[in-house]
Amino acid sequence: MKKSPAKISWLERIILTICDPGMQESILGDLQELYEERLATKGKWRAAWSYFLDALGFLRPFAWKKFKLTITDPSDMIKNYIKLGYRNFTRQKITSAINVLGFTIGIISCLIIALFIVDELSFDGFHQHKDRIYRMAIDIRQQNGNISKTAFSPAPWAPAMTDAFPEVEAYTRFMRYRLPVAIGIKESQQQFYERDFLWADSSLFSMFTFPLVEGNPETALTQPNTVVISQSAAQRYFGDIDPMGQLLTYEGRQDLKVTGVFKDLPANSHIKAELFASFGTLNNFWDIIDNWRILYYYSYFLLKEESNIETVAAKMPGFIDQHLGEEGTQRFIPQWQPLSSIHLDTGRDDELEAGGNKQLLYLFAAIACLIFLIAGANYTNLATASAVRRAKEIGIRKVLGSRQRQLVFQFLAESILQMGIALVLAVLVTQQVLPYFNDFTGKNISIIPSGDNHMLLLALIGSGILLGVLAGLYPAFYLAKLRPVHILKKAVNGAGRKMRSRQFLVVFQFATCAALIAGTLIINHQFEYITKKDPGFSRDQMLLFRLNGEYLNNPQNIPAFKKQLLSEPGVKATSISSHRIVGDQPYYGRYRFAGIPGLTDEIGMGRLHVDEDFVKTFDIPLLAGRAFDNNRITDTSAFLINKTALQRLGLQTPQEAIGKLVSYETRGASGAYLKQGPIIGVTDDFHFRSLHFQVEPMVMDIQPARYHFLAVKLTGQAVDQHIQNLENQWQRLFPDGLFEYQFLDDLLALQYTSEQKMRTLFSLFSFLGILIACMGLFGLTTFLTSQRRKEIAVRKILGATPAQILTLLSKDIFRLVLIGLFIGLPLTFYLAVQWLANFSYRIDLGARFFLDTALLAVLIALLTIAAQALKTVLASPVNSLRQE
Amino acid sequence: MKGTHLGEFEELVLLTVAVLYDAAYGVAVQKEIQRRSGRSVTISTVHAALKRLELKGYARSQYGEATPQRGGRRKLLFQVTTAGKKALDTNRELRNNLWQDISQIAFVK
Repeated sequence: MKKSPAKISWLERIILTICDPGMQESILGDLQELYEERLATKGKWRAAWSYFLDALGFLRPFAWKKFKLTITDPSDMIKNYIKLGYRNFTRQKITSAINVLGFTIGIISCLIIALFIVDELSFDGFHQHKDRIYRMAIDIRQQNGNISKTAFSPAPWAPAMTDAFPEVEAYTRFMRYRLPVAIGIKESQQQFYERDFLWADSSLFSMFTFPLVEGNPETALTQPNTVVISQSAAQRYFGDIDPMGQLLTYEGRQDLKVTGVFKDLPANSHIKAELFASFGTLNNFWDIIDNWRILYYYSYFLLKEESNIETVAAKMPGFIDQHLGEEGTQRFIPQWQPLSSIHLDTGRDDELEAGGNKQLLYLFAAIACLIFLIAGANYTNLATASAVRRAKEIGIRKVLGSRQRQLVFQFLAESILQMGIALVLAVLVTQQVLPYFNDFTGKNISIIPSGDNHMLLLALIGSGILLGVLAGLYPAFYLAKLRPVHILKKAVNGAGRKMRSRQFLVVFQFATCAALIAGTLIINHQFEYITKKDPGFSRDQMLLFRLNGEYLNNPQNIPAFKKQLLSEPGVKATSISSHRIVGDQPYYGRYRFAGIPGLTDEIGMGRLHVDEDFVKTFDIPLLAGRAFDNNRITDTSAFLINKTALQRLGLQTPQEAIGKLVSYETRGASGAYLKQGPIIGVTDDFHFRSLHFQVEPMVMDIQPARYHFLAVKLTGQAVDQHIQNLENQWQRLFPDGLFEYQFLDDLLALQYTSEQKMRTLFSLFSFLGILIACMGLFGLTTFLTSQRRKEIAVRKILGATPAQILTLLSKDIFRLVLIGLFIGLPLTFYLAVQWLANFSYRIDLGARFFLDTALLAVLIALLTIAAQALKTVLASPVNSLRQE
Repeated sequence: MKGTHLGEFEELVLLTVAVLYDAAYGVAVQKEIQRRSGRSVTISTVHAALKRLELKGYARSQYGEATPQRGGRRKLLFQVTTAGKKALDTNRELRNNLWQDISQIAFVK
């Protein structure tokens, strides 16, 4: 009997699986006959090729097997599946608990992360014209070639561009002062500090979908000195009084008439505002508004229907060249951000809101999936390991005529049942947990769908079934494939104690655990490092106050005011400056230095205006020279620089800098002037910005017109009492002023809120992941040791020590744990290096972390295994052996 | 059931089955068609047509004796049923009637 060549026999197999049994023989026979004939006439290869083509022709519906459902009433069978599932569930309590708990935690993690991601992606999706709105952000090429990215753009560009480019339909600019502004109510003399106060062009309401409750969206902001406020602000300011036409004062110097009330902006808007005031008002006092080079505004453009952004982008270099010349095109590189991408576009300074972080989203999505996979691996491991226990059942079923397909369905029904329970639990728990999560992330996520949208519910049920099938697929096929003869003759020993798939899954679990442990350790260390690192100034018992507008208008009162404060008990020192020493937007100036060889150009450096007590109050070390002195009148035109500035100037020692002349153009109370004076001291570096950033060169001088903040250093004891005293004093000095202060320590911590959140979330998820993996390991050991109870008893009787037996039991699993470590750690290393690159100041990724991780992982595994194994090891052999 | 219309290719296959009488199986039908009409059809197409004919009740099949050829596999032999014969007759009659009513002038030179 001639057989077809081996290389095409797989085609036969396919035909055997797919084709109708009544036709199979005829089909294969005909194919064979043709093949043999061609083999003789056309040669082997062409014959084989023709055979292949012919065979493909039979993979058509007419030749397929006819499926006939033989089950008369499927509901009986489904009932039976559920009953059996329930029985198995209650019989194997530990395994079931591990499975359900694991799945529950896995689903909760996935659910919360999924809701979070959906919310993040929904940002700015509610704008009607969202597809046509772009923001122009600017990349600045520094003199040294570095690129710094800002969300800002200059104010005069947008109107000029809209005139010049036919593609642009409209523009809206926003401006937000770097500090919260004081808003007063003319009528009641009440004052509020508003962070979300935006100056905006009148096109605002036609461009963005921010509905007005009162007022005309077309004209509300066309006039100068007008303001539109949110419903909640209206409530806060005016209560039940009609806000329309009321007067507000801005920083005590500018009246604004309320011309509209808008609905509170949705939480998923990256533009956050309580008040929009008309941009035109700025002409009254903001004299840098016409400057083509000052980046301080946000520019949004609405394109015409048929235009695309590339055309506009292509015209930009010409536009900049026309207005700012060659140097401008080099320096300003406009970037176009589609409206809905702004929220997740990270890496720009000066954003309107803190923004999301795409990488973090990916990271947490990955972690949630991993947690779920760990739970799935548990299920597979435990189900296949329990094959021994199920073997007899399966054997009998097969003998009684169960088809393999029916068995598979039965096992799948079991896994779907467990998944279903887990799903319900997860939804219940998630509902309870979400408020905390919302609190933590500042979001407003709900699992209950808004309106009559049942998609979420359907998706949940669908994914429950799908996940159940996925988790149960391998065990189901594995169990259903067991051969009845083998099973019934002698039990399948341990269902293959060395099963490859199980080894693989344990390795996977521990690779993941190792990565989670190492990640947690690294994040925690880096967090400790950045929060504990000496910022270069004294941070304890320091209070920061915002000076209010009324005070700012009379800077000549400063000395008396400070003296008054110093007379309070508990006040050690005070200092007034233009910026808070942490957490403020940096200011820059362009300085010219005389008498330094090889240095003729202006240099851009950080700029800080301080008073005479600054260095003393903040305890900043001086490297050379002296600090400003109250008694030397000439110090008002002197300068201090920091160490980085010294290096930027190319000077070797701090002493060299003393006496060098500095000049720059600035504005005082009486307009622009050139300020010139000598460097009198060099301070050590201090961290004006967070540790994400390198310390920048900094120039400090005295300029009372620009003071905004007061720092008060208290003595150690009875801080609360001192603050109380201060408040009393404050009320006396500023009867209308708000007594609002921040602790410097809190401000420092505030810089790392996102890291703080990430640390908490990561630690939590790691804990959950490791917990589930350990539960799985626990279940596995429980099972495997119970299988070997008799063996262990006999060994004990023959004189084996508990330690030896323990080694015996844990050896295999330990090997897997170690392999897992070797896979997981390099991966973490890679990711950690990327994350740490976000910080200019960071910990070294030494071998220590990885040793710690390894140690911790091994310890966790050991404890998990030992807990169960010890019980068996220490049990009296009699109990194990007596059973039969 | 798939209706009762006898398509052009089906008619060809059914006639070939009749011609081959007791040796009408897949490959034989394929070759006979090839020989007589010059049409080269794939084996699966023949099988598909035979299957359709069987479903329409125009042909029936049974396995023949096993032989050492074809890897020891039996041939599935087809026969024309009475219904098949009737369908062929109807088709032929229709054609004949048409031919009779055509005058020679109808064919434009």
